[in-house]
Amino acid sequence: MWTRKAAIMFTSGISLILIGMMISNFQLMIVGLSFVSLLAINGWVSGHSELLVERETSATNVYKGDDIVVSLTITNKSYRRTQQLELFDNVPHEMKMRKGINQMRMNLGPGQTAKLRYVVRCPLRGHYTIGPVSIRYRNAFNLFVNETKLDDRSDITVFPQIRDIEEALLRSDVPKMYSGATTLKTPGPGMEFYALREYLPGDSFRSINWKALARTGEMMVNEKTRDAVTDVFVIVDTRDVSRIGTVLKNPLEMGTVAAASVSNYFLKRRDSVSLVTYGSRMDYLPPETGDKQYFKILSGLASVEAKGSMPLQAVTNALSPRMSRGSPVFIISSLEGDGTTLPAIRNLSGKGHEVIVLSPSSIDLERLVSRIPRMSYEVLKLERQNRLTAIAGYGAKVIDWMPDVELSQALLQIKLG
Amino acid sequence: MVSNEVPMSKSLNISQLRRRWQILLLQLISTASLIFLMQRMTRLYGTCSDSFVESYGDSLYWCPAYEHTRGLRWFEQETGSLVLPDFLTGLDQTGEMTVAAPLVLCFAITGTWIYALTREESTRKWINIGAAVIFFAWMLLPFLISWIMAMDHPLNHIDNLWGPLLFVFEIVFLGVVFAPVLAGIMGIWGLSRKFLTWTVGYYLTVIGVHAILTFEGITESVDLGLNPLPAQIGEATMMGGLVSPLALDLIEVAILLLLYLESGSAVISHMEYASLLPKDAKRDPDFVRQFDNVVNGHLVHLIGVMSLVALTTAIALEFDDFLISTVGALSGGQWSGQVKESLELQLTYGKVISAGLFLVVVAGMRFVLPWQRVTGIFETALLRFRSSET
Repeated sequence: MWTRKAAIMFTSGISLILIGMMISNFQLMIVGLSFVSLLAINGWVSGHSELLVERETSATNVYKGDDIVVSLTITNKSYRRTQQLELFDNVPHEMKMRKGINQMRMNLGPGQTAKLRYVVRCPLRGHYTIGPVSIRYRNAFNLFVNETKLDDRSDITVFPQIRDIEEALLRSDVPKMYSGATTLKTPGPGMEFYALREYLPGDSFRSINWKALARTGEMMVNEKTRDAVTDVFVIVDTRDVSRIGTVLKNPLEMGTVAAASVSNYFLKRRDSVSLVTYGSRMDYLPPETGDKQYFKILSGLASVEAKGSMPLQAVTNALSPRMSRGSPVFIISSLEGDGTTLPAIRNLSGKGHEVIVLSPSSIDLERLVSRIPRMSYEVLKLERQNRLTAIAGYGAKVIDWMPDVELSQALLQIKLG
Repeated sequence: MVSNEVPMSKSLNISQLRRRWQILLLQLISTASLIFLMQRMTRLYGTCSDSFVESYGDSLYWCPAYEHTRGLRWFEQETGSLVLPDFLTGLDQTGEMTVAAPLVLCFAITGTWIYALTREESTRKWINIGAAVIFFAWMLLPFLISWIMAMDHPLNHIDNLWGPLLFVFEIVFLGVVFAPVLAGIMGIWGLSRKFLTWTVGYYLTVIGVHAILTFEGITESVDLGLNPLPAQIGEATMMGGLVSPLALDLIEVAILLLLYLESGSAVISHMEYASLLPKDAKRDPDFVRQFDNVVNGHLVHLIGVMSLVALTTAIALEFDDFLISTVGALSGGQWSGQVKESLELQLTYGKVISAGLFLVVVAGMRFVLPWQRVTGIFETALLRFRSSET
């Protein structure tokens, strides 16, 4: 493709030749001829982008705020020089360049290799793609440009940050409700001994209790307790209202961090954790335990977006048959713009669930981006306090989470409150 | 992140790059082109027509040609004296040495300008204010002081304003020749693309204005005394019958113009790229190696392409001769001899049409000759040979 400079040079060249002809001036004509001649000769030199590009990333799954080291190896496999190339590795605009740069100007000889290294920070959770690699051949005199793309992509998932809340939960009332939750002690795969029972076909030989066999003469097997002592339900509000605030600080971002941290804590205790997100639709991840569930929860939280306006009661009604009796429920929501919050929580409490409501203060988050008159702020704050008090009245533990308060500090409010 | 960094002296920091031989070579090529361009322009466009010179006899004359001493001498005669000393304007010299002192002045001004550019914003502001205050004080203060001191005398102090006004006119006479040189040098060494293009635009304007003012239709009405270029390109007697003396001069102007622009722009383009790089990339061996590759490639292109452009233009101008000789060899010498002698062919029309044909052939060669592949294979073999040696 011709650049603007080439077009101007060609037009000027032709114009000078024509004017030179009109007024019989050889100088104008020769200057015009040399312009056109420069274009014709430069047309002989063409670059190429038949390159072998290999991208390596230090990680494909990272937590919000982490850095990724990207290394790009570019090799010219052909027998020709590439000529002047500008290589640009497309990085999502949400990622911030920390070290190095994602572009390089190069002129690779036959078989030559160049390495491009840079570090990006991922300040926002989500699923991202690094790539493709854009290559622009530019003539040495900037007369011709040719752009191509090498479809080499690397997918990156940025999980929400995990906060250490162990100490906070130990000091607060939250964990004490579930310690030794014997009601849920059922046989299943696990470590602790549960009971002896008769051998049934299909039982593993490793589970046979040989001492009992010797003592009673009957084949007995050891049964273990299910490792997950509790099914913890984490419900995250991803409605459109949860985008109030800044890009980095809003109810949704705070909610994903809280959900990831709470899930991490309970999964480490070998509890089963279920994740429910609701916004434009409800996404339900059944309670499971282990690393696989941890990864599923983080992936689910990485992809949530603020949209929709599904009411909480619709979620609790749909979940109700799937929830084990007495299992604790974490509701992470700003509680804004939803008239069904109160009845939904009342129903959950009524069915014996321990309900903990972690509510990022959307009014204070809104203050980060827009100026709210003091009187209006006071009124809105009072309304919110009334709402939270009403929810607490139904037996739920309510945490009013201010934007500048750490999650662990906010969780301590359960005890302090 | 970068395990092995290149030494600071080889890094892509702007201060280091300014001392790199490739960059300096590009700047020197550009500067030399500019000076040669000015010299060629003076030679081609710096004279008045013979009839105009004869009409003045022994007295001093001036025509708007591209030369500064004639104008200054004429101005000196008209006004009595010049503010600028002769050693500074080159009036005390003859021939090509007349441009030496103004050229040195241009370099000195560029040096001062670059020095000011590299200072802090506030210092720059004070330098600008200081220069303006000194100039206006020199212009107005003598007049104001003498006028205030002698209020009761007749108002004959206007003479004090005359000196600065003469100075401005002298600068204009000098500026016609040296303004593009000054702007060009400032563009090359002060890395200003605006100045580079302005200089090229100025020279094209000079060529264009000269062409119009010497066009027969114009000179019939207004003759300013400029010496017109010959209407015929002349016989190719130089370089083995490739170019005529006039064609060589004209091609030189065109090539020097392109060489100046392209080498000057190349420096700016490479510096711009280097300035965009973050600190760690500037010392990354891969970035440095590729930068060297790019700049070396640019130098090779500059020299190779410009030589080919000069050669192509020269051949294009003589392509009509080749065509007629070929046709003559095929269909008999009498017709071709007549055509060769025809005026149409000697003038621009025939030359342009045949040159255009030649350029089309040259442009089409890219689809015929796989020369990049050939040079690539050669380069690969050379690399293998080198690696086997080491």
